[in-house]
Amino acid sequence: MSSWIVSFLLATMRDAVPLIFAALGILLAERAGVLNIGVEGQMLAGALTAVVIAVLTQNVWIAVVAASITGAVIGVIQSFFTVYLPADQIVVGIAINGTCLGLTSFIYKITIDKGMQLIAPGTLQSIAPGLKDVPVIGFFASWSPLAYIAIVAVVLMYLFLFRTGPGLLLRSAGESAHAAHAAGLNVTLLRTIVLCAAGSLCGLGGAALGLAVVRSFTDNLTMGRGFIALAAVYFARWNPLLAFGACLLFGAGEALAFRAQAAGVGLNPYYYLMLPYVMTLIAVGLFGKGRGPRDAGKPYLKG
Amino acid sequence: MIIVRNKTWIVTVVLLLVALLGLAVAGCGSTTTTADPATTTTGAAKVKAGMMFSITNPPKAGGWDRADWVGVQYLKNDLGWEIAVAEGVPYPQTAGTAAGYAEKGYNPVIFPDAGQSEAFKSVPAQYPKTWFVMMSAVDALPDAPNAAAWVPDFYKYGNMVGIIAAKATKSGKIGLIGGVPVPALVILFSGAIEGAKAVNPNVEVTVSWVGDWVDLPKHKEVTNLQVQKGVDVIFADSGPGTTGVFEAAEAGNAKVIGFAADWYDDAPNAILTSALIDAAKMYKQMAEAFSNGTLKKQIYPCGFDFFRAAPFRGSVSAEVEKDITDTIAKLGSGELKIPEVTHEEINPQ
Repeated sequence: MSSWIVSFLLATMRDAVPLIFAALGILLAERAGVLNIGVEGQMLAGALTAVVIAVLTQNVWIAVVAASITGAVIGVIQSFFTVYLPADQIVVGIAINGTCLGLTSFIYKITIDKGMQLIAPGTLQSIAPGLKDVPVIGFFASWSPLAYIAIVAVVLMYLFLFRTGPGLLLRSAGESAHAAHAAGLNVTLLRTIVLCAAGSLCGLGGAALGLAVVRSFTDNLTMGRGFIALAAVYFARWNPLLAFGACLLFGAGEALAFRAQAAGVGLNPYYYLMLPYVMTLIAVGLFGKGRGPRDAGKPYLKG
Repeated sequence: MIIVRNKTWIVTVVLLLVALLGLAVAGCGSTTTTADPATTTTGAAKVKAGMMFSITNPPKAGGWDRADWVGVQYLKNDLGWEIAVAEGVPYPQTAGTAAGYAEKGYNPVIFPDAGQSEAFKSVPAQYPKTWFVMMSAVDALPDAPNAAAWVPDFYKYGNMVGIIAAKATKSGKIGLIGGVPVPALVILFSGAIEGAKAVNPNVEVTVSWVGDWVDLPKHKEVTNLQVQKGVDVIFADSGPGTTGVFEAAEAGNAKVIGFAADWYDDAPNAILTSALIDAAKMYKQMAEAFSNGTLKKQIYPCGFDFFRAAPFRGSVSAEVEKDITDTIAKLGSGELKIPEVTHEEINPQ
């Protein structure tokens, strides 16, 4: 493979990994009947936690776990509002995004005002940097370990949702919560657990962005990537395998945007920078009109 | 399991907590830096100035804002001015914030960012008793007598950047990375291209635009691409996303010339030097003109005497450093003449 193609494919995978985790988090929650609009906030909180903990402990795996826990905690808060009260899921999602944006910026400001250099160790950037020049193997050695974890998570999520009994129960709560309740399922408890797991995945997405793509944090680091993951889930019709492909497609668009600019075709740079979003729009237009879980977004009221 | 039966009080308590948290955070988002009274000029009325930044945390942000912050510190600590600073003000809200300062008696109102030029042109006519000052690039003054601007000569500054890059490169390939192709940046990069060509006609210059000032992963990706093309010296003029440039440059053994302020502490392994702009001097001139009553409706040019290179700290050999320093001195004295060419092709429409 030419070095251009290798570089392009590596950039595609690198850009896609945070989206894959976030898309799985969104997909899981919506399959259980809760819209996860707060993904952007969960990613941001996960990214800041990951970078700060990695700097403090110099251990990226502790940082990844901490980011995952942070996302889970936000998932629990989200479940309080959307499952127990239950408030409008879109409004709660927007509120979570706004709150996390403000809080992460505030905490970030405090950390750097105290003289803390937020440069995390770079050990999650590639799994075996020493092998990067070996033909073929070097390509896979240059992937982040989180990329492999993301692929495993996609497969496990697919098997869980479509090949297991608990997965069927989860989907039934998203299709018709009342029917699931009548069949003996505790929908409230199920959605709480699912939101916790979904938040954890979104937190992992943030950790991937903060530790595997870059190794630092800045205000609003995610820059709308959570919403791109949301679009990927809708495009993929709530199927983990297709969502994986959709995230790769967006990653390829972003990787291509800068390469097209570097090739010097002579267009305004904004045409290239629009590329990933235009590709997403075209993909949704071509494959769209998928039907989501019927009860997603509807508050569940017992009785 | 908790079953919430009376939800109204819970919602009320939660909303109150959120409101309290919001107030606490809001209190931290906007800062008023009040001078030590001991340093205030005796007998003179204390000057209350208002200014707004489009980003948060300007002293640690990126590019121009860092240099501006040095100027703010000068006004505060050396002159005893009271400075009200609003951070994270989006461009569409700049005019409203500036008007708010004027209504509350702040004078002058300072615009530190070229992106605020629309607001700078619209507000002064409404508040004739207040001075409005732009401390960055602007093409023209508003149609009002109470506006002035201190504008760095970004073309000349670019010449200096180009000279440093072209003299320091070993591969003969240098890179210019900009956040957004605003006019001031196109002028700066044009100056850098001409400055580089003036001292090394064979140098290859690659220009890349990230598309925003803050997206760290995108800044890193753009830099990666330049490094893959063989670029070994990069000048980056962007915002908080500049950290991504340092990360990629350090990984690819390239060196970065920092913009406006000294970036050495941020990335000691990646920084070649920084092309400094003496913002404190700009603010000093402005403050003196304001305090003396000699401030006029005028664009005050800030020429080569406002620019210099930060210490190289061993990033190049002593021989190369001397060569760079001597060439910059020739540029400053006029011995080295560089033609003024605007490279419109770096920002195709």
